[in-house]
Amino acid sequence: MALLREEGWDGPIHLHGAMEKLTDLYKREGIPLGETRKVVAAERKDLAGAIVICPPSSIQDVWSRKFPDPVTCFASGWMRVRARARQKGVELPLVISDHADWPDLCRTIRETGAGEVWVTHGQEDALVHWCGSVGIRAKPLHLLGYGDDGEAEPVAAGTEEAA
Amino acid sequence: MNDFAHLLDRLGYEPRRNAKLRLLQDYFARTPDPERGYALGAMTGSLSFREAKPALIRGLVEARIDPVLFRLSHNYVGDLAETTALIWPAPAEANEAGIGHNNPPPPSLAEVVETLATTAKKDLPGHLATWLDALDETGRWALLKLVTGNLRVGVSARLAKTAVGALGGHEADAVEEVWHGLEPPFASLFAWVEGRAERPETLNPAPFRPPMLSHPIEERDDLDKLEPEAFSAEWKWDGIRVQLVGGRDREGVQVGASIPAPARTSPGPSPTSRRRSRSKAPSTASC
Repeated sequence: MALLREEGWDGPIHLHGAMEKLTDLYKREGIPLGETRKVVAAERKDLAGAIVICPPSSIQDVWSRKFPDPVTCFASGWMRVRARARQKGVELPLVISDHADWPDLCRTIRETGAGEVWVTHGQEDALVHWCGSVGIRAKPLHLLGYGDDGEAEPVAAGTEEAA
Repeated sequence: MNDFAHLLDRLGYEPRRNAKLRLLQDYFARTPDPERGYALGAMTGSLSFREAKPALIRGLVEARIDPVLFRLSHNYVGDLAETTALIWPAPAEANEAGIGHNNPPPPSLAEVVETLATTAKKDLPGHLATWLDALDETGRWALLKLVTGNLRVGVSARLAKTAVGALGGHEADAVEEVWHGLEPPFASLFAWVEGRAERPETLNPAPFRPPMLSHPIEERDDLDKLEPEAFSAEWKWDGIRVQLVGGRDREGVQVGASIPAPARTSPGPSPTSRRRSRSKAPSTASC
């Protein structure tokens, strides 16, 4: 939302109910997100040309089908992979993520000076291999409950722009 | 090349036909010759050049990236061109702020196609690496799709021709009628649709004429309302229609290889083997 404001969108941003609490929290902490409105189910048909933000699970849900001719947009680091974007029926993939990318992850590991790295989740084999190649001991923890699926990414937010 | 790549990227995500048409029209209107002509060639499958094998691409990457990490990334992303485009350590991107003056500018599509058409096999890896260094991520992806012969555009050749025709208010059929005498970069075609030159003449004595799109007549009343002298009619049986001289279907695709019997008796030039554009199997071929 802050990025939309930076790009000059000064109209209201419409929110799925699930986005409300977190948005309010950000606002209370002094982050300027501009005017936000909760989507009223009966008014979805009137939101042509509006920007609507919802959680990823609502994108393919009945909820999002009531908007007039929506452009399905998905903001996530996963959107760099075309097959992932197509799988989700995304028309406007936005590569935005607050996860560390590969070069940052590798740099951070070096900066910590860690002698041994335990990898909780993600592409463990790649990171363990990289650690080995620069002389750092590493092992995967194989924790339960961490998938590498898009759904497990807690910050992925779906955006819908009804054109 | 970057501009063409971004067009392909947008087309790939765009499900609406009319929106695709707009994207294509905008591109053809703003892009100069011969760049747009080669783009049209790429979208209609009419470019020919030496293609690069996947092993060559893999070799180029593995000279720059840990082969194990590359293999893991390839497994994860699932597509060689896309993985390479993402993982390629490009100097151009690191120098986006304008620090690097030594970087060559990104190649145009015309430069890529013209170079590939004349390049010797041993020089191919060098050219590719230089281009990959200069292009952005989407540009690298499109280049690799193009050179490995895997370019999936997400638009039919017919739609691309419709967009070209629309530049000068012509129907796709009008483009189709002159199409088979032309070659990339189609300068005479663009000059004609933009009103800068006469319609390109075809020297083919039996040029392709697209069969008509069929419209069912449901009611007896409809038939009575028609004035016969205002129409020409064409018989339509089940299956696909083919122009016997030249053996092309309604979209101008060579179909001789799929239906060899009529093609053998055809007096026209021997049809070359081409993929049919339709998935529907022909039960009969009406000629």
